[in-house]
Amino acid sequence: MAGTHDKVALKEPLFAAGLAFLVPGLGHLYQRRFFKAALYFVCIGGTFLFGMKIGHAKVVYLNLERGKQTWPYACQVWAGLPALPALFQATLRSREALEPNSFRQPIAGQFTGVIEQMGNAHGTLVGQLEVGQPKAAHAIDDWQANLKGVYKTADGEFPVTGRFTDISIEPQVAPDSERRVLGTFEGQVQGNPAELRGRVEGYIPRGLWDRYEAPFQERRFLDSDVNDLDQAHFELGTHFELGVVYTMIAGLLNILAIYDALEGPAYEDEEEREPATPPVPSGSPDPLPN
Amino acid sequence: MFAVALFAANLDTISRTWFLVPLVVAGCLVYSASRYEAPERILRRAAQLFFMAIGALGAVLIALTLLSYGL
Repeated sequence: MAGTHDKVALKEPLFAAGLAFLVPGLGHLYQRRFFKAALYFVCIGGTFLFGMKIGHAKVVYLNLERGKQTWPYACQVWAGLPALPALFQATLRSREALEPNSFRQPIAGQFTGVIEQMGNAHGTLVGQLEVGQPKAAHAIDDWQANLKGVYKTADGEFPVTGRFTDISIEPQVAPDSERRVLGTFEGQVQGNPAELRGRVEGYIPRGLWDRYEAPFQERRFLDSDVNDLDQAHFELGTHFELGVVYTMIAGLLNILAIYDALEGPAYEDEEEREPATPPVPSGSPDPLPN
Repeated sequence: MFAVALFAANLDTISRTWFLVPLVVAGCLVYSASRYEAPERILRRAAQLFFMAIGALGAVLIALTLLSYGL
């Protein structure tokens, strides 16, 4: 069904509206309304991105749990593709991916952490961490967590190999770029006969897909009572709320853009009439005869 | 230009009040664009709307400042 409008060629309005929903301005680009396409893309996309920037990309997420639903997402989702991953993160992720110390596939990543002995930091461990597949989802004792890398101290850097015992690891999916790892490390430093042993706290990187618009969680570790929302408020202060407001308004503004792609501009008729100082036909009678 | 500067700036050092300006600009432009088709008209109406919105928000700010004076 080709759209008919007094002045603007809307082509296929429903298709254009769908494009406008996915990417602000794309529907207008399809309709060859280039000025509006650029304006919507810059204004709506810029507002959404700016909100994400000030909120450290933590302000768009979806929680469907009863009593904890994230209502701002009802506005944010209208920003289209940039906001849709939150929907997939909340609905398509397995429960295991959102739980600490629970995984189905081996973990491997570049580990960076501090090793402590008796509460005193005495070096940094950097290297490749590999955690083997457990026999059961929650059987932490069955994990094989090995580290091969470098042990850095004030005296220099030394190759080290060893393994973690009682390791605890954050969920696969969480709204942070680093995945926290805690545990006890037992290893051998090259050229030193004494065993290196101590508590280790460090991180491995979390991939973009595992953190982008990931749902907030009540607790990252089984023994932790700090939830992601409190943590975000603590880190970002009022910037968190500002980011939420910016992304919500971006979504709401895109509703106007979608409607414009579907139906054309609201006041176009008025626009056409407005320049009209009605022409006076020649020879017409004087409207106010004396 | 202002928005680009805001993107590049260290946001922790900027007063929260300034965060309002790009939001009002974007809102006025998008609202006007959804009402009209001609670029000149969109920009002119958006500018009018921007000054009205900033004026109204400024009046509220002044009223709140006066009401909270001495508190």
